[in-house]
Amino acid sequence: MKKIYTCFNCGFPIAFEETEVPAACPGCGAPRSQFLEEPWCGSIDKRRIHVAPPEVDPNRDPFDISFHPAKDFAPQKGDGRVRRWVMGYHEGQAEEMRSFYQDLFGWDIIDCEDSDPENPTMYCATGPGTPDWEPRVCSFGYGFLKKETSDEPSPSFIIEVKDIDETCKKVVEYGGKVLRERFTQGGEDYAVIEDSEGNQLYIWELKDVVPDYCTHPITNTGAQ
Amino acid sequence: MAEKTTYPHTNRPPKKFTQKSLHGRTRCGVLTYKELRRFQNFYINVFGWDMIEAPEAASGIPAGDPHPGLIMATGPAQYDYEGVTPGHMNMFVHWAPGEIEPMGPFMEIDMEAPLEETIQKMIDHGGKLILDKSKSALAKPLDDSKQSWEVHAVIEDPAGNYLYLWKCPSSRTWDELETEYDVE
Repeated sequence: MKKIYTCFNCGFPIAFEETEVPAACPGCGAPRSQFLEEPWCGSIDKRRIHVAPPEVDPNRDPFDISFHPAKDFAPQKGDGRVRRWVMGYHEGQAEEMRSFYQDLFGWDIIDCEDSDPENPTMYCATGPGTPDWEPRVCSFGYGFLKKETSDEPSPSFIIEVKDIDETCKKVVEYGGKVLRERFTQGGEDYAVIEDSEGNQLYIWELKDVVPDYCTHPITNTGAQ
Repeated sequence: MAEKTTYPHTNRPPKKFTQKSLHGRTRCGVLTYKELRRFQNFYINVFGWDMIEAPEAASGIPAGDPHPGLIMATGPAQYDYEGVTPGHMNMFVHWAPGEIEPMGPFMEIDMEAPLEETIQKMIDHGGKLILDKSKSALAKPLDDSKQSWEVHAVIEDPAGNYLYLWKCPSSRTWDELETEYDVE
C-alpha cells in the first residue's frame, strides 16, 4: 500500500509503496525509524503530517556538514549562485552538438548573436523558461555550448557575483587564482578564476540585479 | 529591483516543455575536491555556499567517511537541498582520489523508460558510457534493478564533456516544487 513518509529529522515528505521504503531518508540520511507514516491521500500537498524542520542556528559552524536546513541566502542578494553550466566543443562540431542535445534531451538551443556563425556559442534551455530565457521552475539551470578556447575553460560553471573585483580578492585570499581578469562578452562582464582544488570557473557580475526572493521572502519551505 | 532580462536578446521565448518528464533538465552541477577542509574554506568564504554531507542514498558513501560526498546550496534551498527559487543550480560534490575530475551537469533522464534503453540512444548518437573509475569516481556499470538517488551513469558527449545522469525513483509525486512543467 502506498503511504506518505515524513522524516522526523528533517521534515522531508516522500511517497512510497510499503515494500519499497528506503532504509534511510534520502534527504538527510536519518534511519527508517525516524519516518512518520500516513496513508497516501492522492497528493503530498494534502498530507496531514507536517514536521517543522530543525531551526538554523545562525552561529553554527559553517564547516559542520551534519544535516541542517540551508541558511537564509536572501542577504547575499544572489551573490554566489551557480547560474549556468558551460560545455565545450571542437572546431566544426557545432551541428553535431546541437543535434545530440536537441534530439536526445529535447533542449531548445539558440545561437548567441555576437558569436562566430561557424562555431557559435549556443545558449540552451533545458526545461521550462520565462520569455527572457531564464528557468522559471526551481532546481535546474540553463547553459552554454561553446567552442573550446585556451583562455575560457570548459566544462565549467558560471557563478553570479555582485562585484568581480571584490570576489577576485577573496579568491586569492582563500587559496584560488585569478586566471583572467574582467572581460566583456555579449555585453556582460566576466572573469575566470580557479578554486583551491584546481577547478576553473567563470564569475559573472550582476551588480544591480536582486532576485525576487530577497524582496518577497519565501515561506513554507522549512528552509528559509 | 526585480530580476531583469540579462541574456540573450532574442525575439521569442523558449519552447514549451509540456511533457510530464524532467528528462534533459540540468538539475545541478557536479564538482570534485581533493582536500575537504580547503575546499570548504574556499566556497564558504568566497561564495557563501552552505553544505551537508550527502546521504548514503545519494552518494553511495557511508555516513562519516573521511571523504564524504556533499550537497551544496548556492542559493535558497528546501530541506532536502533542492533549490527552492528558480534560476540557480545547487552542487553535487565528491572526492577525487587522483586529479580533480571534469565538471559537468547532473542531468535527469526519463524515469519511465528502462535505463539501458535511454543510454543506448545516447551511444547511438555518438555518446560513450564511461566505466573507468579513474576518469570519474561516479562511473559504474548500468544497473536498473534498484531505485536510487545516486548517479546512474556517466556519459561522455561527442565533444568529451561528461554528463552525470540520474533516473528519479518512482516515489516522485509531481507535487514537488521542481516538477512543474509547461501547460499547452
